[in-house]
Amino acid sequence: MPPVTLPRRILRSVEKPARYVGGERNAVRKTLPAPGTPEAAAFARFAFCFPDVYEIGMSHSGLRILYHVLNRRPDTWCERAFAPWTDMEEAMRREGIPLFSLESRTPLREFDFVGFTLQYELSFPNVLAMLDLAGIPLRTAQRGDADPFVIAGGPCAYNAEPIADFLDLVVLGEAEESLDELMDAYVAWKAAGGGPREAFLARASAIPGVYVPSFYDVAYHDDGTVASVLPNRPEAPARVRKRIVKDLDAAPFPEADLVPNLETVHDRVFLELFRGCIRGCRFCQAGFVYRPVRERSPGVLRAQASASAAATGHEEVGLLSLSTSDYRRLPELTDGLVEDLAHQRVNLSLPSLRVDSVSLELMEKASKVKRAGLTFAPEAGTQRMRDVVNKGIGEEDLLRSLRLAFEGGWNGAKLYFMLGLPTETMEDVEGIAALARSVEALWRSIPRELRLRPLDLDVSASMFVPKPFTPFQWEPQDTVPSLREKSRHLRELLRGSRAIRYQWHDTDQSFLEAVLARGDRRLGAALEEGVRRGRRFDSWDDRFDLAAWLGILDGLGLDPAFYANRRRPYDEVLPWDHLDVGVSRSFLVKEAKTAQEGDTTPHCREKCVGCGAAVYGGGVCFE
Amino acid sequence: MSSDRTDGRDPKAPPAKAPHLRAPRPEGASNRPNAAPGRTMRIRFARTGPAAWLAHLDLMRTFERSLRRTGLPLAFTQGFSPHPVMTFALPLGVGVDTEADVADIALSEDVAPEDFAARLSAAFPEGLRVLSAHLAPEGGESLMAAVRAATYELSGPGVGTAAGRLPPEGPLVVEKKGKDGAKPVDVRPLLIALEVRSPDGVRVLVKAGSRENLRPDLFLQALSVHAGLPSEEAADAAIVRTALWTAGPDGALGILG
Repeated sequence: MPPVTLPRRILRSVEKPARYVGGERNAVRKTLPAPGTPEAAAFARFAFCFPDVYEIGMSHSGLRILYHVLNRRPDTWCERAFAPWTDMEEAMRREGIPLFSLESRTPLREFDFVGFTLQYELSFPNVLAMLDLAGIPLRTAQRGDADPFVIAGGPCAYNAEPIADFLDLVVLGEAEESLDELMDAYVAWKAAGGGPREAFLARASAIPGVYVPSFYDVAYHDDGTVASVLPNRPEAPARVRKRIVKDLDAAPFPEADLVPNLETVHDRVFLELFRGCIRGCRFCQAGFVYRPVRERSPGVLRAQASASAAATGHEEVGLLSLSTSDYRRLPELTDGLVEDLAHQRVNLSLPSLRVDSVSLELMEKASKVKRAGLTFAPEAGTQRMRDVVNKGIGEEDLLRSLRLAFEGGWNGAKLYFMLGLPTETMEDVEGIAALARSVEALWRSIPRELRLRPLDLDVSASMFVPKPFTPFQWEPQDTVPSLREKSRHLRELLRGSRAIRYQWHDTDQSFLEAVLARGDRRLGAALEEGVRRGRRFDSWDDRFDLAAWLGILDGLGLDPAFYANRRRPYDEVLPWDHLDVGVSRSFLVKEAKTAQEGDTTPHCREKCVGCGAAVYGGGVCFE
Repeated sequence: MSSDRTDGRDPKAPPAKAPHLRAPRPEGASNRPNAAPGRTMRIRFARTGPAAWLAHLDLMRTFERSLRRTGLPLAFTQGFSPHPVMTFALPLGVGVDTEADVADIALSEDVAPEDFAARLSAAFPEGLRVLSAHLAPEGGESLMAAVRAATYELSGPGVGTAAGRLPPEGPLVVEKKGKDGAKPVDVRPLLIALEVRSPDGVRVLVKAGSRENLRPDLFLQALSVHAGLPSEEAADAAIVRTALWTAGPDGALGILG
């Protein structure tokens, strides 16, 4: 089939047409082997899809890494596709244009693989909408041998059960190595003549970290809970364990990274300092699923920064990790980067750091090239609540840090909190306001000559969403009315201060996110129906409509509270229990009980608490 | 706001790019460029293909990154975020190709114009190309202020025929859509010359620049409203800017750059 043509009248009628035309610097174009040749029989085309708009998808470092990993193979061409905004989707449907790749404008249904990265649950409907716009049958059971294999990865792949019926393959964990192995297996299978889809899936399921949902049967109890998830094929392992890349210094890095056509959310060279997090905050899925912590050395990072800045022309380099302050050689790295990048007139942008004298000095240095804001995440307003979530930050630490910052010329900060944490009472909510007021009082105690601008304090609250593979995976989510009441109360308490701005996250979105985060395969029907009824871009608050989703769930006899607001007993089979992230279930239970007692757990560099991640034989577990 | 990342943070929250919180400003910071006099390169460039769909700000960012990739000795603005010093003669509309646009780029050291052209062309993304380069004359009018007129070639089924049908005189009112709604604009006084090239093509010379300017899509709209060109054909027509003009010493138009 020839490439899709995009009439000018369409591109002129939509917002930001540059989203749809490709042609970026460092985008990869390959010449396809002639049809019928042995090379063509051993060539794979992969469409990497991000289920959101271009500007968000192009900010994602995983896309850029895997684009590079796949395209360095001579037998594979990886292209990209993003979710067209609603104006473009309407135009495409009107003109009969199927979803296509940016590089060659090839319809997605002609690819060997159509791969999605699942970064947030509320993007699930967009995954189905993109498949539908591509003309690919939604359910794996409906796909034929000529259809692409639909594959997914990313943090929501740790519980992709709500969309499992639409995915042929799921890659668990870091995919640099497993995707390479999967492509090896695929081209070998295709070159040998291919065959029925199941034959390839059977081969793929033997690759560690590759999960084939259709090879597992889910049985339910009468009360709706999962009875069992069991393999239905001999090739499928009873448990699929996520993959990690042990040596980050040797991991592939896209120096000649894609340079977006449009301003993106994170429009800069990214340096990944380390993966994983030592901290173990009990609400944080990333803190558990990316274990163990593995660092990249400063020398490698400096070389990557300079080479990537030169190859992309980016004017800024950013540092990426879950907790930059925990990078052990941070001062050494930032000193080196500031020095290297000054020659290239490139800025170093620092992420939020734990504020102490060392980091203030760092920010001071960085501010010679770029100003930095201060961000703190106390997460909760009282020490009791912070102990429950294992957030190792005390009020004195925070105020001491802010005093240093205020005396150093900063005039504000952003404070992040969560509402609806397990065991939370109204007293804890009021603690948030009290903490903000203490910061205000601290500001007034700073000598007047140091307060050149008025105080500017952002207090931001998100709603706690229990996630799989965390100690809170058995916890009920607080109900929407209760969360609304807490947020309203907090807003009242913060009212009347000019210096404090209160922002809060939509409770409705958090509720559907909670349903999907710990959902099972029965939710697939609701996603399918939602997409049929035009639900799109649910992670955009102005597009989200909880009432529409509740109607759909109700029509299918599905109770959202069963998924979101129910306390699950420790012995209940969870929809993701056949998946394994290294951290053991028994450790999570122990952590959950420690949380209930209000006790904290030391972080990985204080003391190994035997979470289970040592099975990977590397990283912080063996430092 | 949406809680999308696994730690509950919003991935679409604005990046820490322009924080409202200010760190102390280093002494002596200013925004004056370190451009050396007489070291401004004037280029003529073409754009087509995917690059034609970049909005003006995106095109400027693309130029900046391309320039940085060349490794050439550029003059940068001073201050926290140094940027190359560039001036474009006239912004290009989204979806408009050009064969004749002009931009000035300040340098900090001498560079041979042919080297400059070759290296920038090699650093550009798909669809952008340097056609020629020479040192800009010192002093005189700024590039933007010098623009007086532009030539556009418009093509598509029936575009030339429709242009031939335009009434020879009288107002040609169209609706210009802006932020505050649509307002009527008479295209006639902005139109300097018109040449029907074929049934499917027309070349127009129109007033352009910061004082008076006719966007080519408004001329296409005039063909639709006043000469019966189907609006779908007007929306689909190819638009290429083929020349930018300035006023010579005698007042006659001369090619800019």
